[in-house]
Amino acid sequence: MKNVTILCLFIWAFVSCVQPIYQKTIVCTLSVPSGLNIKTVGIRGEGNPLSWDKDILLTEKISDSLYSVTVTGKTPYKFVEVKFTINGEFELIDKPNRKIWFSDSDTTFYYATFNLE
Amino acid sequence: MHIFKKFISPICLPFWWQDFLLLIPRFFSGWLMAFNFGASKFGMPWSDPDRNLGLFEVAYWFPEDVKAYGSIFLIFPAFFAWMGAFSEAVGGLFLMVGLCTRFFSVLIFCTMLVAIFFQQLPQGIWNALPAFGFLWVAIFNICLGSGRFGIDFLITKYKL
Repeated sequence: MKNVTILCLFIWAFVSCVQPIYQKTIVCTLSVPSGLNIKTVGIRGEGNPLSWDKDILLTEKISDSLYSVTVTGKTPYKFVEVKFTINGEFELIDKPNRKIWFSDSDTTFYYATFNLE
Repeated sequence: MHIFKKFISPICLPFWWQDFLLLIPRFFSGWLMAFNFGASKFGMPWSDPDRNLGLFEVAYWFPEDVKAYGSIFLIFPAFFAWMGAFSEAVGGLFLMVGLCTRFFSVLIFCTMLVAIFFQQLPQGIWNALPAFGFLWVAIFNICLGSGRFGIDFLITKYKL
């Protein structure tokens, strides 16, 4: 009986080991070089609500210069990979994705310049 | 202890090279499950650090997948997800070295049956081929144990 109890405790302890997920919010602020004919500025990435196929649009803070967006989602990971787009065209072509590392708090602030690593 | 030894005691084939031939699929399947299929959804020391899996943790998405199988899986998704991932990642490792071969082969057999009929087969028979492969290997090993090339053989034959 003792062995069965230990076995049950052992199984219970390990089966409760499901990777935890946390709600994380990223506030992205993107600086855009002047001289571009900007219609839309977006962010793409992996993991809900981001997608590599569809932009989440950034809103203009300073005309043709500074854009921002707030993205909230649930993730088990320590970072998320993203790229920004202008008019649907990716930045950093043939270069690695940006990695946004989540801060320990719920909200992470990320500042970037378009097409600059 | 006697029952345990009887359970892990392998059946050796007449010639050592026959055991060696059966070692190849056992080792390769174990390696694939422990270091690839299993490690991607179950926290092992060699799991990709980017996946952020703690030791013996099952990936967050796997219980959701298991829940979608319905019936009893809907009631205990975390348990079945953990057992499935454990039998692949840890069972694969034990299969490689031939330790408790029959026990882990039974776990792998059950996991592969679920993987075939609840996950892969609805997407077409081609998708089910890897799971079928592991299933056949598990059946051989349930019958024969580790053969000469495994720790089970050393434990039972040489009484270490």
